[in-house]
Amino acid sequence: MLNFAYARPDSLEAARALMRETDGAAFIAGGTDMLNRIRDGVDAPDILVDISRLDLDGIDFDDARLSIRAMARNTAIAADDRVRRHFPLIADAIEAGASPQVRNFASAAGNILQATRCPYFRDAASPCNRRDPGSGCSAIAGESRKLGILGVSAFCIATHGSDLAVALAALDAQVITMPTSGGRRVLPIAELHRLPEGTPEAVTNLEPGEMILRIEVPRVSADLRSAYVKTRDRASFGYALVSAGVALDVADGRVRSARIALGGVAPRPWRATAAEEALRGVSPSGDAIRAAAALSTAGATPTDDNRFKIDLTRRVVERALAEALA
Amino acid sequence: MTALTDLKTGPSRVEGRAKVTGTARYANDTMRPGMAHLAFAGAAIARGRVTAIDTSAAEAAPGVIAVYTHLNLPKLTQPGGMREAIVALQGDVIHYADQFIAGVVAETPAAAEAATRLIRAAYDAEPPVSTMDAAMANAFQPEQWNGFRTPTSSRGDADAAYAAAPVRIDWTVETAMRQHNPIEANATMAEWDGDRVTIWNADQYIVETREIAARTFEIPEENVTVLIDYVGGGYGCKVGPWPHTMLTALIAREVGRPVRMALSRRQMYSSAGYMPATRQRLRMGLAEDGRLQAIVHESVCQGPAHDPQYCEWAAIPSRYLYACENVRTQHRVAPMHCGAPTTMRAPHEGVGIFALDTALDELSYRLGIDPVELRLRNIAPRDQHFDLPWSTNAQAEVYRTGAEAFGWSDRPAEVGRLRDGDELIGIGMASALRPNTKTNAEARVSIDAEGQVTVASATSEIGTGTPTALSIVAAEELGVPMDRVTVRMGDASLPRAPFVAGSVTMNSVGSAVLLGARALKERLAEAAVGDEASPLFGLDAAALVANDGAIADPADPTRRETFASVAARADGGEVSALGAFAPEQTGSNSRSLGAQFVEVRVDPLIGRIRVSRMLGVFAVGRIISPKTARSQATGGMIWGIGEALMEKTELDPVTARPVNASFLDNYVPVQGDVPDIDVIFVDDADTDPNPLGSKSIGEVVSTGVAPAIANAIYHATGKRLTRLPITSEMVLG
Repeated sequence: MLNFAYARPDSLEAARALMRETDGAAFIAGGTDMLNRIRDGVDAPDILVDISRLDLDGIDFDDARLSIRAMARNTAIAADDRVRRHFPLIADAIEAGASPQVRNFASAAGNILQATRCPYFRDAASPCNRRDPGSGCSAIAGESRKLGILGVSAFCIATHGSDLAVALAALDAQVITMPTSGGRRVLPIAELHRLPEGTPEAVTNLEPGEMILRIEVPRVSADLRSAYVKTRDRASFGYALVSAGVALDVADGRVRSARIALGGVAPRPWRATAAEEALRGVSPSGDAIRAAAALSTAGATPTDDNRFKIDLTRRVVERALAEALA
Repeated sequence: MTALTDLKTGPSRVEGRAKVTGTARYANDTMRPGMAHLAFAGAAIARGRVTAIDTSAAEAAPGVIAVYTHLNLPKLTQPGGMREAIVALQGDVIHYADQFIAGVVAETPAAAEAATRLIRAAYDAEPPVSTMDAAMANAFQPEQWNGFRTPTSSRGDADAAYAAAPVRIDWTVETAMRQHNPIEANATMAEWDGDRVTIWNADQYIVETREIAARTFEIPEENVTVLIDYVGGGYGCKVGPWPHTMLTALIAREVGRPVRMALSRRQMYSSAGYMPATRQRLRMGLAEDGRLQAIVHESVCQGPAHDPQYCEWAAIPSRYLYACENVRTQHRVAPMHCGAPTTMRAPHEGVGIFALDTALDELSYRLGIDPVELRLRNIAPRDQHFDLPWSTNAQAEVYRTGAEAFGWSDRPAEVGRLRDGDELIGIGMASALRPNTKTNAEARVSIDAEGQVTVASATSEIGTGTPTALSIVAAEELGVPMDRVTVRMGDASLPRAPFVAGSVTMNSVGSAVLLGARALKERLAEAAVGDEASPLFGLDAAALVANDGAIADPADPTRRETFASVAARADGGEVSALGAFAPEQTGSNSRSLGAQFVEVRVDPLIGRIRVSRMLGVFAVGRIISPKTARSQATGGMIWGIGEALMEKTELDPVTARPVNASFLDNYVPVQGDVPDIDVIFVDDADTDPNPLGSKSIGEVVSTGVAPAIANAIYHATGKRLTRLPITSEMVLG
């Protein structure tokens, strides 16, 4: 472990001031990802700003939205009756991720901001554009079976590892933040994470020191049908090879709207918009589902190692749609 | 002997409380006054030379005491005998990624580890050989190992018999590079006092570590103490000293302080061994009735270019699992730039059976012969390789017992017939096999005036339950309660014990304890009859019986004296005897056998594979300690799930660096992957190989699981998978 300073501000304002005025500061919330980053040598903050005891815990719910505050622990979110009743997709996605021990500590905001598990990013001795800009991507010519096929670039093929973020993407969530300049900012979840393009080191559209305060999920339909399907190399405590979170609004036997988000295949939760379009207005037969699922990997650019993910993604989407409609 | 055990109950682990309450001490728990901490920095390249190394930033880092590289560490004049032929920090040549290039000594583990990141090295790098494909061109035949593991074998005329066989199969399988990955990383603590050194080592072979330390540091063996209370899992990666153990002792001598070192998890992927990948070609010829006529089994395994001392003898099971007159086997090693491999549960047979038993399964469908029946037709009647009879042979019984208990007769013969919702269900089986191993071992058994029995032997507890099993042996033979027996182990100066590996401990050390306990009873009887103070004075010692903690005259039950009473009058208030077990060639051979039965559920749409039922049936001699034996079996079968479905150490195809060198990236089974597991031990008591009647358990139990799972997947899906591990994309349908 490298030496670093540790601060525990006693208010949001104090946290904001600290982040604004201090170079090399990083938030620590549940710590389940940050500690691994430090131990792996991929992150070396000069000061850790602990926000875990600020007044950021809890879940609020009203007719318009579910609001998950930044420090709500993953276990608590998944166990919340209102979440389970109205947004089972969120509970299902959380419970498909990590282990109970990790979920007990992991915060909502920390979960969706977790760093990639690309093994080259986590090995400080390997070139990695995301960790060390300009050093090259080891994964593209390396071992890439678990890495991305959508939204990747010639500079980075890392995937985003959060299951919760996939569910939130399928539910059109938004994050409410506090920039260091003050005030509040609203970011749709689709705009939170950046694609790597030529600058994979820029992972999110958050400004330096900007803090997520809460995640809001709109209530658009009283009877949303949803499912979360995840494939991985063991039964639990494994990152997705491919996952799909789907949310369907179905009325009178027809799909009014479909939202399909993918995990394990892209640098951020990936909305399969072509597949969503194909489902709109159709009555969901097996053929219609398969036809839509086949569009879920439009634009994929796999490596030889992960070409199978194209087929697997379509299959996982097909299963998720079928489960949601069952 | 008085049986203390029955198969349902039996004693619990004597060390269980210490383990679950955290009082059990492991190497990296060792605390010594004034101790410092050592961490190694690793090479970024896998092949080449270190041309320059800058340690100034590390030396200046907070808490750092000293930094050692090949430039300033003394050269060892006797660097041989360790698990790896090349000792790091003794030269500038890099043979594999993460090879140590510097050792940092600091006041805390964190300071040492942090400073390793400040080491800057320049290299003259060459492209490494990082794949089996690239290494195959230079494959070579390895040296014979320990007399009986020969690189080639031939009986009959296998090639001609294969060519002439009416039914033939030409089969290729691949098994993966895998890590031992015990929870406890290899760790060493070393402390010098003049020219005497004490080494606490996470170690499956402390006797050898003592010998090698004496040789390495050119001091008498009696100047070396090697201790360890508990080892946190070994699986083969802690059998005697790796270079890191001797380097820790060397650096401790240099800095003049006790030094403690634990490898990082990443370093466990390069500097503590692994099971090498294999590629096996198997050709089998059968008669129409399914009887084997020819086996040609050729295996190539991954090996390090710099260290050709290990071979995965994967073709060996073809020599003695099934009956076959014509067998030819061959082994080669394909050199790559990777760390040194070593034995890993379960070596050789563990991967060789994957070839044999997936091929036999395939043939069972082609011939229309049930897989169990096909194996029953090929029972090995004797050891055809060594041309000896088996001492016992329960091969048919393990298949029949397993088939009955698993409900095999309800299994449809055709593939893809069982379905439950989205899942296809398949049922498969395979044989399990390892040699019944044994080697020289000694144990001292003593009893004192309080009737307290002490068993002492220089073995170590690696999690298998050895203290419990040895306690049972002594308690049963002496007829005293378990709680009157204390087992001393984990000290290399105790009576000599072999490595705690290769499934030898119960057979060897257990037999030594049995012989020691018998000798102790004789000694007690002789002491009693020669002592006027004994009620047994003057009787013929040979005519007495010694049971239930006492010696008695069978003709006159009133003439009786307890062991404790005899011991009370002995010099020092104690009587002891040494048991020395030395295996003899008895005119027969023996093996540990089993059969694995597996049910899998495969969701072919999304490639989800679950093992839903498992049964292991084993013929492994007399079961000494039922609970720990069963624990070995279930653990070994879970180990096999990992081999079948998850474990693979990925080497980067360009740099030859281990890619997934962490528990977050290289999976082993978690609870959700493990179904209910049934274990049956068939009656196989056999005192021919050793007086205890036990046989090797620890490794046979994991063999056969991977082919049984692959065979069950075929039965479910019709997909014949011959490359391990089997993952989602392979079963899509």
